[in-house]
Amino acid sequence: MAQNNDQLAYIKLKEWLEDEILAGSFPENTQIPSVAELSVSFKLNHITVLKSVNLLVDAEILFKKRGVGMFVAEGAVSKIRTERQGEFYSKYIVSMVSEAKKLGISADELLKMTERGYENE
Amino acid sequence: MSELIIENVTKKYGKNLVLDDVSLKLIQGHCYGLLGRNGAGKSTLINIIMQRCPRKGGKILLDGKPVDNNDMLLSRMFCMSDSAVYPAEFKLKTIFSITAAMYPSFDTDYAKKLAELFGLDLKKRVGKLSTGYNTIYKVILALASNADFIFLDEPVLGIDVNQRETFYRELARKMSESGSCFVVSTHIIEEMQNLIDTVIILHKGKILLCDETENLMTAYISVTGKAELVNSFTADKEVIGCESMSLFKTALIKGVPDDIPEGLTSETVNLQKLFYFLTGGAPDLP
Repeated sequence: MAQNNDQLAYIKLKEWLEDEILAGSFPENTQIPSVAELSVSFKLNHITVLKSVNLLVDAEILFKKRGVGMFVAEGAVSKIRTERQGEFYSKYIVSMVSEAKKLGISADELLKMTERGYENE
Repeated sequence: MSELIIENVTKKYGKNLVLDDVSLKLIQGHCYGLLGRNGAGKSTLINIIMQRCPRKGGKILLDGKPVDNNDMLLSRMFCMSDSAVYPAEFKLKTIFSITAAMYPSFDTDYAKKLAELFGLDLKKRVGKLSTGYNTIYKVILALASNADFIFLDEPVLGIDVNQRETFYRELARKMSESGSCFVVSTHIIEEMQNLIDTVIILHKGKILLCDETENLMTAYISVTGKAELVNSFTADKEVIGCESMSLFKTALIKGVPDDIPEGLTSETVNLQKLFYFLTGGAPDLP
C-alpha cells in the first residue's frame, strides 16, 4: 500500500508530541498543553487535535485526568522508542539504500559513512 | 448539537441557474470549507441561507424548524457578507453597538481586543476603510458574534499575511472554545486546510462533493513519471485530471493502489491541488 497519510495534520501533531516527549520537553507524569492551547498554537481544527491526542491516549502514551488535563504516562518514552524502532527500517533504511544505489554508493561505503555519522555525533 | 439543514434549494437569476437543487447538512462544532470557483454559487448559497435573497423552492431548517421570517432562529446565525450593509458615514464603533444590540451573544470586549490585534481604528467611518480593513471589520464582527452558525464569506480577501495568521489563530480559538459551526468560503485553500474538517465543493451550482478533509486527502493520490508509463498504469483507474511537461505526466487518481511500479513516484495531494483538478484544472492556450 502506498503511504498516503503522512501529510495529514493529525499525524504530524501526533509525531510532534511524541518527539517532544522523547526529547524530554514533556517529562513523564507532567501535564501537556490542552486541546484548546494546541489548536490555537498550531492553528488547527480542534477535532484534529482531539484525534491526535486520543490516538496517544489509546496507545497509553498520554492519560487524561478528568477536569484537570492531559498528562504523559509512566513508560511513555520507552513505548515511543519501541514503536519508532519498529518503523525505522521501513521509514529510513529503505529510502537511504535506494538513494545510495542511485548514486552508486556500495553497501560497504554506506556502512563506513554510517560509522562516521556516529563518530561525529 | 444543533443542525442546519438545507434541502433542495434552487436559485435562478433570469435564465441563469445559479443553484441547482442543493442539499446540505451543517452540524454545530464543525468547520466547513465551502469551496468553489468564481461564479460557482457560494455567496448566493450563503445569502439564501441567511434569507438575504429569495429562493425558488426548498427548505432551510434549524433544529427542524423553518428559519423563514423567524427572527429567533435567524439571530442564531451570523454572516459576514461582501455587500456593504451599513451606510458609508457610519463609524465602526456604532456598527459594533448595533451588532451587539441585534445579537445577544455578541462579545463586545472580545471584538475590541480583536480590533486592537488587527490594528483597526474604531473611530473610522466604514466608507473610508481600505479593502483589507473592510474585510477585517466584518471578520471581527463574525468572530465575536458567538452565533451558533457563522458564515465567513471570503474572510481573507485583501488582508496581509500577518493578519491572515491572526485570523486563523482566532478561528482555531473560537472553534475550540465556543462549539459554533463555521462555514468558510475561500480561494486560499492551502492556508485553511488544517482548519476545516469538512469540505464542500460547489461546482456550477451543484454540490460536487461533501466529505471530511482527511478522507479526501487519503482517497486520492498523484503519480508522476514518463507519460507512457503513467498512461499504462492509470488505464484501469479513475483519473481525475492530468498535467504534462514534455515527456512527463502527472495524473491524479482516485483510490490508493497497492503498489507503484518502478519509474513512477506517488505523492499525497493537498486540498488545493485536489480542488484544482476536480474543478477543471487550468486550461492552456490551444
